[in-house]
Amino acid sequence: MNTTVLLFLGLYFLAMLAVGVISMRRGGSSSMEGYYLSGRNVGPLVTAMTMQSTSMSGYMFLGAGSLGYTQGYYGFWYAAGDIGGGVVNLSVLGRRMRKLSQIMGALTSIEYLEKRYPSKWVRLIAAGLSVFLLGAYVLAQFIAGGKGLELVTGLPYELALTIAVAVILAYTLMGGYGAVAYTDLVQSFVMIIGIVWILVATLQEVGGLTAANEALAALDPTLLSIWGRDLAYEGQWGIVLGALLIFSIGYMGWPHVVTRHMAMRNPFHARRAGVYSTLWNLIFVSAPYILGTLAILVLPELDDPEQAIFALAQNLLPAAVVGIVMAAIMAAIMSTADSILLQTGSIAARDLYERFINPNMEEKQMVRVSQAIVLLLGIICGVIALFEPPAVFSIVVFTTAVLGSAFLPAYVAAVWWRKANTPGALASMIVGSLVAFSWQYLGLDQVTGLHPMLAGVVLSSLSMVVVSLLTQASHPVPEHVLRAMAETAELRPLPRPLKAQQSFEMAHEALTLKAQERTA
Amino acid sequence: MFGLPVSTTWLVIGVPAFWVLYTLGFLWVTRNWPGLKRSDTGR
Repeated sequence: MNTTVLLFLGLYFLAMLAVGVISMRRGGSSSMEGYYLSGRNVGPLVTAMTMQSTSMSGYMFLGAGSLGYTQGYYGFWYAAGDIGGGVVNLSVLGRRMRKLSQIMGALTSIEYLEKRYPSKWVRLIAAGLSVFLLGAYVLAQFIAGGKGLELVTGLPYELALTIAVAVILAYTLMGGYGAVAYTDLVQSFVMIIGIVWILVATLQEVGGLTAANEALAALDPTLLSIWGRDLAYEGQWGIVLGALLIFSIGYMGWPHVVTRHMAMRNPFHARRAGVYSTLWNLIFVSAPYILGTLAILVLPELDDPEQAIFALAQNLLPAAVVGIVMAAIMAAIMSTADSILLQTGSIAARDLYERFINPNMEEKQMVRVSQAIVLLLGIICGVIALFEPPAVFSIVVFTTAVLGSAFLPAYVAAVWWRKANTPGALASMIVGSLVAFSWQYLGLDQVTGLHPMLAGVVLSSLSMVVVSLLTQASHPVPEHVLRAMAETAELRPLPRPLKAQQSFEMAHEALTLKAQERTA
Repeated sequence: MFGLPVSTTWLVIGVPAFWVLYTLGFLWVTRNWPGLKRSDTGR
């Protein structure tokens, strides 16, 4: 293994740990709000970059390259939705979710759902679904991290996995959300530098994009088509629309992504963060698909299409630059793994353990419990990853579709529709998750020509609307929720009484119990 | 453009252009948002 590449990776890991130490010293884990949301003090650039780098996992370097290599320009259907995913999320949810979550004193995206749709069942179902699905996602990212590091360093998989997991766990435990967000910022820049470098080198190698497309057309003209190699997806609009939706509106249903809104310093930062997201996506998102397609010309005999981008880097770049590209791949994996790990641990600690088992904990005690659960979860996923369970990447696709279908209508309606009530939210979550799950499990996408995400989102949205309207009389939206929603629509900073997030009628039982104890 | 069929050009160039317009539209719609000065945390 080239020592220059190793040196770059070693420096990169040390830099990530240093960010964790700095976040810890800034008090990242000294309070619950500090640990979960970095004290709601994150600026627009960091918000945008942590949102984008969390959304883009190792899939972008492995799966997207593979899709380009096997299907040509068809992969752009996924990129096309993905480019707008950040700004759609920030423009639809950003400012309102930030304000509503603070008014209601919610620290996790699941706790937020319970406070908007008051019912312990909302919390229980949402937290259970999230822990299960995000846990699987963490596992997949760990495996990708271990394999990536093994590939780059030549170390045995077990050792490579242990190093990757140890680094991610170390900075996540040290600084909580602040450490995760600021390491994500650094990692987003590393990802951009790495992908642009390899793209420029590849375009030089193939004589420019036009010459490359002409060469591809000579090989197989269907590679240039929007319908895939041999026009395999021709006319399948249900699949194509789902591919567009999964990464454009789908992010609004991912609990670990929407948490980013809640941590913004200022609700109005959603505006600038939206611009940063689009700029970053315009550069980053399309590149892996183009690279995968161009790799057909440069490396026509690849055994494993997922290695397309890695192989391009190794063949076209000097060792020092290969180190940067490899750091970019690890950055994509780590920036997703850390965010999901923290989110899963937080949900398990606050939304399950504190909410249903031990509501009388002190704040610092709660942070310690969260850290313990993150550590435990990391170790469990790390141990399972050692055995490399099969079909993990299909679990990733499965989890993202189910999460999006289950939660998207609940998060959007929470801030935009005053009639969205608890039964509607419960029905939406249950129907969305069941439909997306069964659609994939039973292979209904092949039968119906509809993407699981499309079927899941449409039916969960319908459930939200129909059930909410039918149950308005029996389950009206509580007055304090309507007042809070009205306040989120206002273009002004929060009034002082609402800033302190201490409105007891909006706080969940745990906070109420604490308050009662203090006054007793 | 770039040796691509028209439909592929629309997908590769047109859709990103749509998102740029969406972002500009978002900026325009929110041009009156207050609290963007550094001193005003808006919290």
